[in-house]
Amino acid sequence: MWPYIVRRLLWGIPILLGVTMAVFLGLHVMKGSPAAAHVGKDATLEDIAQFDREQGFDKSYPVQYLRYMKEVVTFDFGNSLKTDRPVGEMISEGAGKSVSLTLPALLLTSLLAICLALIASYFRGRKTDRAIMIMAVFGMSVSFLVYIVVLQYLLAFVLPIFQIHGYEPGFGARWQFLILPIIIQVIVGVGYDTRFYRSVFVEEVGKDHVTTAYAKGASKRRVMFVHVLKNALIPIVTRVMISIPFLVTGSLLLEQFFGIPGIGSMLLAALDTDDFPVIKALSVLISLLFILSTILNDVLYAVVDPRVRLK
Amino acid sequence: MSPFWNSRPIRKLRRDKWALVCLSLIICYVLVAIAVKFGILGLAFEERVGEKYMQPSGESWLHWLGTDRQGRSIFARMLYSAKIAIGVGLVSALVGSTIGAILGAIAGYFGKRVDDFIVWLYSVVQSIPYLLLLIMLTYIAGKGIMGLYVAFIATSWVGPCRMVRGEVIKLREAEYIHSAKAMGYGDWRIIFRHIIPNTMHIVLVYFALLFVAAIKSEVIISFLGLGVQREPSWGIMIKQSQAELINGFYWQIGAATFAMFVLVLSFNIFADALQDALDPKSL
Amino acid sequence: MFGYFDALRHVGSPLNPALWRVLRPVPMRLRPNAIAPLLSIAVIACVALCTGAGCKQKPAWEKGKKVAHLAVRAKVGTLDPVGSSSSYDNEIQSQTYEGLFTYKYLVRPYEIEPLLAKALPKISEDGLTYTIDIREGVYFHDDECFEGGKGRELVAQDFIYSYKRNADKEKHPTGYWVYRDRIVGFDAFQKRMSERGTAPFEWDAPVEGLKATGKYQLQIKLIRPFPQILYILAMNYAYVVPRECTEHYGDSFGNRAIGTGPFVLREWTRGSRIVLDKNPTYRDVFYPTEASPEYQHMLEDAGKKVPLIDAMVYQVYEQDQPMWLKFRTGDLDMVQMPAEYHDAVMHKDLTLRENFTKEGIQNHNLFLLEFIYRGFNMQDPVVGTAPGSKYLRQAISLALDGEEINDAFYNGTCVLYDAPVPPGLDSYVAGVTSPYRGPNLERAKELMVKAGYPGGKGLPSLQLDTSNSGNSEEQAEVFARALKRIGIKLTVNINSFSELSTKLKKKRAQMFGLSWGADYPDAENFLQLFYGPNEAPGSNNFNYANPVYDELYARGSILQPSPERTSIYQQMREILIEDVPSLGHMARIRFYLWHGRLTNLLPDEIHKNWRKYLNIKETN
Repeated sequence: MWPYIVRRLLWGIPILLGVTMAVFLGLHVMKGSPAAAHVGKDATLEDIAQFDREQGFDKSYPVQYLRYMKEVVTFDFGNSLKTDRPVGEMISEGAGKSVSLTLPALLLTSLLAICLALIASYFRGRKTDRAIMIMAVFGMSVSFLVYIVVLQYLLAFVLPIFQIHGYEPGFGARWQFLILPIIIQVIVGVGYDTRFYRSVFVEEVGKDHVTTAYAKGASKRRVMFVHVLKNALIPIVTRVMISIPFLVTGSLLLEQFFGIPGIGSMLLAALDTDDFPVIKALSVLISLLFILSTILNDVLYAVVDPRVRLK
Repeated sequence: MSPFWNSRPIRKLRRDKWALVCLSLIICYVLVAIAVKFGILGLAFEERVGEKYMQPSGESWLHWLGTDRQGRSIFARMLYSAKIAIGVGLVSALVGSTIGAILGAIAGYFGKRVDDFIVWLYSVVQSIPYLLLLIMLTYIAGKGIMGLYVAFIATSWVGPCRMVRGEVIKLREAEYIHSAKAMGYGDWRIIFRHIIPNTMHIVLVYFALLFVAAIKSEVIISFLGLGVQREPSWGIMIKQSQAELINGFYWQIGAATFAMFVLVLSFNIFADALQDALDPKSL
Repeated sequence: MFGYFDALRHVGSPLNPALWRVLRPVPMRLRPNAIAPLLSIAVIACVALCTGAGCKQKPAWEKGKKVAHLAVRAKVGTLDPVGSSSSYDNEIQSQTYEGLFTYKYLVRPYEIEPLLAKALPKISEDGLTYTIDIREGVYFHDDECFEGGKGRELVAQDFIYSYKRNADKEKHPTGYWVYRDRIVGFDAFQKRMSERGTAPFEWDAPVEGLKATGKYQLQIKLIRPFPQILYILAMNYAYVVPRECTEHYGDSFGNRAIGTGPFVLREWTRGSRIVLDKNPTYRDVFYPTEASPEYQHMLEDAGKKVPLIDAMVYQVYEQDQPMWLKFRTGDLDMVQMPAEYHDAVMHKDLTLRENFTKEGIQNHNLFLLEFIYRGFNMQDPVVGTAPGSKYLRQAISLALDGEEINDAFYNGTCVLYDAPVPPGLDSYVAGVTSPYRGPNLERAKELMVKAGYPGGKGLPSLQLDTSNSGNSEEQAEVFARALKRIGIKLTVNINSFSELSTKLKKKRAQMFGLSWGADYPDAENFLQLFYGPNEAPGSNNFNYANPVYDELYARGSILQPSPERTSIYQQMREILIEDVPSLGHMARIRFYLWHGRLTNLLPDEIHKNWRKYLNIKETN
């Protein structure tokens, strides 16, 4: 097992190299020095050159890339060009806020989707199944932006049930602002997940061991929970696991519309203002999480199915 | 009847009346898009046809859904947008699934270094934050429809590539491939004549999924201001309609959402039917 | 980033290929029964989340207090005045920090008044030496960085220190340019400091033009007369900060706001909210008793000690819809109206619609002092130096329909004007005064013949560089279409802001679209854009050089406002109209709306420290 895990982890290194190279190419080579956006109005060429010297943008590309690599290894990206604060500090502030929006949403979505999928697969081919699946497909066919615009208007303004916009730093106080965005995220996500889990359950239901258990006279409840749900756990866990990086990156649209100062709007603001250190740090962080969750996913499969390791 | 019409998946699809309804709806959209593209329909999208914010009326077909903030026909703009949606969806799905299928087949068939490289490539593309990738690509391709195409193609090939690769790794060991090799066929001939056709069920389903994904992403990209310029699209209509809701004017957001909803719904249902029909395991 | 389900790549989500196989229909053999427990957990979780979090409520601290709720449209970056990089940074800084001078709140045209200075400066005969007495008994906000936690008294030396901070590269200053080429010895000092390497900054090194001549007296020596220096000293780059605090907090000083201003920073939730409390130790500052005739009705609180409100809550709104909804519910007291709401809110004549006035909402249409334009590089062989190039520029100006751009992109609310001096400033003339204001295609075509390019024949394709921000790209396309009508082919190059400004500094652009916002309310700030010695990399992006104009500028820019100065400015104006180094000039109007409970409001963007005058009618 361990050699496999080590091999998978080592495989992450060239991927991270590729990501950093692409980001470097996009920022430093294609876009060039962000000096003009940061030295202030009416700066002279000398001011720009000075800025480039200080930030190291005057160095050759290989040297700059090496410096970037060093930042990746030490995970110290220096200070934001816009706020002059350590990037790490900014990200850890934002990540908590993003997670308090996305984690409850993910949990609720998964829970709700699993229930609906169980119901649907029980009633497979019947009206209940149809109704759930049609609802799921309907839900998936409306744009995320429409949900946000319309529900914010209807549920927070016309019927003033929820807060329109805002955020409180206190752990207890923040929820009044987070409910509506969480609900929207659940509505948007639950269709996809229900469809997915339904097909997982349907697959399990058809397997021999379930048929056998049923033939042996096991109760329906027992069959569903012990045999179906247990064996479907792996796809469920995988599905949840691949969402982990997205928990931290947050949801740009929801953060923008509901005023949650998370990572999503931080990245957009950084891109808008040419804040290279923040862009670089976030891209490395997000890619790293993504790579790790993929590896975790593969390892999990290898644990379950030893044949995978031989590949 | 030709063998194609009698093939198992097609027979199965033909029995599924919902799939057929959805397919005909999709074809309607495509026809509208073609009509717009060649100037038969929807030319009035930029012209003022009346006062701003007119309620729908039967005065002429341009007034069926009222007018927007600049007095332009919402109905015409809604129809025109089908061109953008179909264009974006088609390019993204066609190019994405073709590139994905070919790269996936190559990776799976040759294995070793080639496989490592292709897997590396898609892992990298997947790992870059989407927003960052999108904005970087618009630096290169410029804002507008080209930027959209480039961004979608750059990301859409990944899914089919993974799946086709996985399938090909299994196919590689199949008997008929061995015998094709034994008969001295070249590698490329085997890939294009024997391998790719046998992964068509995956590619086709991905085609439908990518189509939907592109149409939905267009909305988000338009929201960021990186989408099509100086042309209406459903995304742009939705973006513009934000200010209208509070003034009790729902026609623009309604029109764009409905037009998009029907197309995406049709594709979703059709993709499901296609999946069922094409799955070689099913009976 | 769009949420984990809406991204295009979701389709290619890293599911193990084995999972693909699960999508296979299977005959159903089970009947329902057992999902109830799971479903109920989900429902309970939903309900618990909804009810447990409680309904909407006003924070307890606001009860019985006068609290103004205001909006900023982008995240605030830093509160350190020297590092300010957006007008929102500036807005918050202006409530907590102060400079020597500010503008009279209710007087237009703008007039300078002392703020931390005791009076307007004594200016020497030659107009070079400014002696400024500083108010005694002004204290900084209480903070732990002071001895005993009590704010220290402000002295003249604090100003010297604060101005010098603009020369310290380690503070990443964005405003040194306001001092450049103005104060004796400052440029040399700045240069020496930026090249000092790792050596410490010499805070105590003398700069000839910046001297504290007494505990409460400051002397500034200019290189040449520059009456606008008072405006500079009112800007945020000249706000005063206490040295012990910057040294105590070091790099994190930008997280705080320890000035002498009317408000103190209570809370800053990054990216979301800033709460400012009334400064309890604020010196006696009173609501103005002087007002221009049109603002006489605003003198109700005249002579009262300010600030009149207890606190201000600034919320960051990055999207229009939530901000507008908050304004409509009354949770937000004041907004800058987003452009897309224009038609629903304003009549054609730019007055407020009745359904808003009925609710007691008030408005102010603020003419921005800005210069949106398209310009020529006058050193370019085709559009600048060729013998007929003047006629070519005139023809181009005549081809452009400014109203078309105004209607398409600004709801038709911009003010179009001819020379680079926007309405509200000395020498502005209303109406069409230029013979080259478009659209007039007939004349444009005639001038094309005169320029030697009949019907555009013989003219190479022209290049327009514009930035990728906002709708400047679309505007450039409208421009290109206009030029096509007189046979000119225009290629539009889209640049990032960095690329564009680098091109301009290196004189590499042929034509460009740009805008300039006033730093201070003086026509000089706009006319200097065409002053020969300011050519790129200076602010004269046009590289316009005209000896007559330069001579007039040299004479006019050192004068105090006077009929003589106005006449000089007008001569300069006419030269620019004839030479057409720039065209399509526009200035926007900003529409401020607020609820009637907020009073004493005269929105302005040239200076921002007027929030202390706000009052609230009823407490909540």
